Amino acid sequence: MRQLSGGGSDSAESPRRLSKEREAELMEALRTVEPRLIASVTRVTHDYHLAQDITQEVCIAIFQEFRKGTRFEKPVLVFATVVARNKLRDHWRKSSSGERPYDEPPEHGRRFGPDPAAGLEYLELLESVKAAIADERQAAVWELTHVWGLKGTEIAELLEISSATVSRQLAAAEAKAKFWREDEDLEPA
Amino acid sequence: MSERQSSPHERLLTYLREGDRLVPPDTRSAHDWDLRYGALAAAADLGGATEPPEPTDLSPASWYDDGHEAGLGRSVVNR
Repeated sequence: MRQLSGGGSDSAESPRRLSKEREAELMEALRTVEPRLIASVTRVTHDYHLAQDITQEVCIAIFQEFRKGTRFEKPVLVFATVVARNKLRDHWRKSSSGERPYDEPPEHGRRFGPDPAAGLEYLELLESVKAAIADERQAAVWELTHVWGLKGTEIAELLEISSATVSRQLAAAEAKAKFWREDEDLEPA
Repeated sequence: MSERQSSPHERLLTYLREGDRLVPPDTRSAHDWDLRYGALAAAADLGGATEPPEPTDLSPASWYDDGHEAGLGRSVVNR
């Protein structure tokens, strides 16, 4: 289910020109989103260049939504975070299947990530946090807070819960993730 | 800190903090930002001409569907 409201026409011909007001809104959104996203994606991937690539794609997606006349029902940063996570997953999926993650000319030959295992390490660590929390909403609040750096109000918008619930769920999640006993972390035989 | 003695919370935060150190300080001026905006606009023109944006699902259910069944391993979170 798509959760954006298209304010413009759905024709294939997207409006290219934005009003001054919309352009100012877009610039402000990008100015806010870009540094936060680069920081978050670098934090996850340990690869600043990959983070720049993913963030650029997300910024382009934001541009295109503005040009289509989309009115965001949730904060633009929430949209950007969801798109970034999807792109990151896609990148890892392609990497693990041996595809070139991006349409980068082969002669560039850049490998994404100084440590290709970083994505796997992150996913394993995240899974261990989720296993300790054992509740999908609490785990989502934990991830959105600590990995993606979203504020309580932004998380509330994304998960469609109150800010008070976000606070409670985060406290519960942290309590479980912090006090997970080592012997519980072992793989079942 | 011994990894075996730390919680999942602390292990992942330690990993994330290592990533934080790789982010250079943002020293861009207003002019730099204008140039960046122009570059993004040009890239959006190019991207829009070649590929339509994929729809983005911002529902909570989509976030909970963390992609593990689709090739990133199996999620361990109870549903």
